[in-house]
Amino acid sequence: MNKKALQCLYGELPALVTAGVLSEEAAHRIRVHYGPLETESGIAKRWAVILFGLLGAILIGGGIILLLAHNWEELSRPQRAVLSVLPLIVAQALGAWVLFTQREGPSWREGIGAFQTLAIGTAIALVSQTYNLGGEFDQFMLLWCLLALPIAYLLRATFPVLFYLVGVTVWAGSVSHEEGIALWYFGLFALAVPFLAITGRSNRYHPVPVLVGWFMGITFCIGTGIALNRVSENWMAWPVLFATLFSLLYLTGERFWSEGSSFWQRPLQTLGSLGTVGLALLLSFRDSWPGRYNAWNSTQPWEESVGGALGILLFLSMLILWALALQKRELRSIILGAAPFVALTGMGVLFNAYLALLGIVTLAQGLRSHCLGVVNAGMAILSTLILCRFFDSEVGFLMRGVAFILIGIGFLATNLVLMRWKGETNS
Amino acid sequence: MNRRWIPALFVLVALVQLAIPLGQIWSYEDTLKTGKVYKFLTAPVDPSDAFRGKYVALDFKDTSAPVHPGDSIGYRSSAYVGLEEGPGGFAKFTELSRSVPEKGDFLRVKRTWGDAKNSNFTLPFDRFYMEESAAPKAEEAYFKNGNRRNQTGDPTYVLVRVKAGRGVIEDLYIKGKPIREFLKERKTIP
Repeated sequence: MNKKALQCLYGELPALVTAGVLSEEAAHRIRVHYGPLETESGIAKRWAVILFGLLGAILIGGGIILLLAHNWEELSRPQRAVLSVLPLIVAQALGAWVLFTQREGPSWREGIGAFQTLAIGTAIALVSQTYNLGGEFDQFMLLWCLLALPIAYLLRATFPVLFYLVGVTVWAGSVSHEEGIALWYFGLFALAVPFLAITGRSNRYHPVPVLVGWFMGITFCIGTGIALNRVSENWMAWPVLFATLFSLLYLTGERFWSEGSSFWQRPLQTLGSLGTVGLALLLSFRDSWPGRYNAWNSTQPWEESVGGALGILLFLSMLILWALALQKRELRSIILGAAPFVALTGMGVLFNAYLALLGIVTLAQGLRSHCLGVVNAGMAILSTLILCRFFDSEVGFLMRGVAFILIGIGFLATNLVLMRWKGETNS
Repeated sequence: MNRRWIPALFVLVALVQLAIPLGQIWSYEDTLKTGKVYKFLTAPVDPSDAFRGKYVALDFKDTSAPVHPGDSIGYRSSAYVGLEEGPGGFAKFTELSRSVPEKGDFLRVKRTWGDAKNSNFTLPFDRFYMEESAAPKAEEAYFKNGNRRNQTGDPTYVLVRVKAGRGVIEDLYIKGKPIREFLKERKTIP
């Protein structure tokens, strides 16, 4: 349960006990179940402990590396080989000590997790340097990521999984030109998903699952674009692919982080909605749509099949979540989830109506709930749409002039409502 | 998962993490101690390509070989190239094939461009690491002497130990001297 809701619940408990709705014992059991309410300073202290532990470990590790580098030339090859693996051995020894002595403090686990992750890459890179090995960057990156990921699960440390998410995305980018290899990105990404489930099990609004959610959302967008780039370009399907991706992110976020009190605590929704609006604005311009069939990516039939199947899987996942939103009549989810269907029509002009509807609904919801942030979001969508159309030379002056006058009247009306709302709040 | 298993799993994972670099060290030390020595002639490089930070970028002469009849090797696919001693005591590539040659020394390479009968490839070693302040001077010396090889008669080459498809550079030679010795003797670049 998020902090705001918990605060509200704890505030209601005395009244419920007085009214006889709950017994004292039941109220006490509720307090024990959810634990004490964390103060702002408590949260800040928790973050500070994690970050200072992490930074301390990274700085010490970096300093040791620099000292070794200074004397590297004087060392013999066997000495260099031993020193290459020494940081890794030290990190592993510390990790084993933390686990066997059952130290649960996050600063220990996060610091050692970061140190061990960096030590793996250092060992492989220094051995390559010692023996003048070339090697491929993508193989180095993949090996480093796969060796680092288990540390996240075993030490329950965040840095290794964040490094892993970025690392496999970088790996996908480095193999994007090779036939079909980048499609393995999805399997690699899936290996990190259980970490989110484990850390979010007791409190999904804790900083760790929220941070992992942000990294997962951002890297999944980039990685999917890279992995399916060759196939989607050949079939001119990238508008539908990205619309599906952003809608899927938003709808998944609404299932997992629906009670987040700020945009930070709603990572997938924030990314999904920003992505959908950005994509819709782009696709509202005719020139941004893919042209005739582009066959310059020479893909194998199996690559087309697997890539196509993965794309369809993403679409079906989005469809299931969208159906759930329809069933629950969640208006904003329904509209944001409808973007792929608009993209399927291939008509850029429809995105104008789509964005106008999204902006108006967001604005209306903000006004109804007296939430200034949502009002601002709705206004931002409409303003950006207007700005784009104002400078769009494809639309004639007359049509633009009439449309702007009507919209301007709408804004003035909204302003009157806001002023009335502000007056009600003050009184 | 029962948390009692986690320390044991951690030890297992740690052993796997150590096995990768230690395995590399063992195999490359074994190659350097017991591998056969070959000299690979280097080719001149553009200085803007040669400079890649703290190492000398190497390029090699005549990295092409006839393809084993019947073998089809894709672009950037792994392959094996046979080795023997050629004219002047320098390494000569015999044949490129998909599988390990039955006899003789060989290197694991990556095929680049070519046709069904003859193909180019990249060798598994393409750089020579040096101390950061020496690397730029080494590159300049390598570039100048590599280009002047035909005039001076002193080839620039790398000494490589080869064993079981692996090749490990022992040293880079300029005018018949190891690069570090060459740089120490010269106060200015010729």
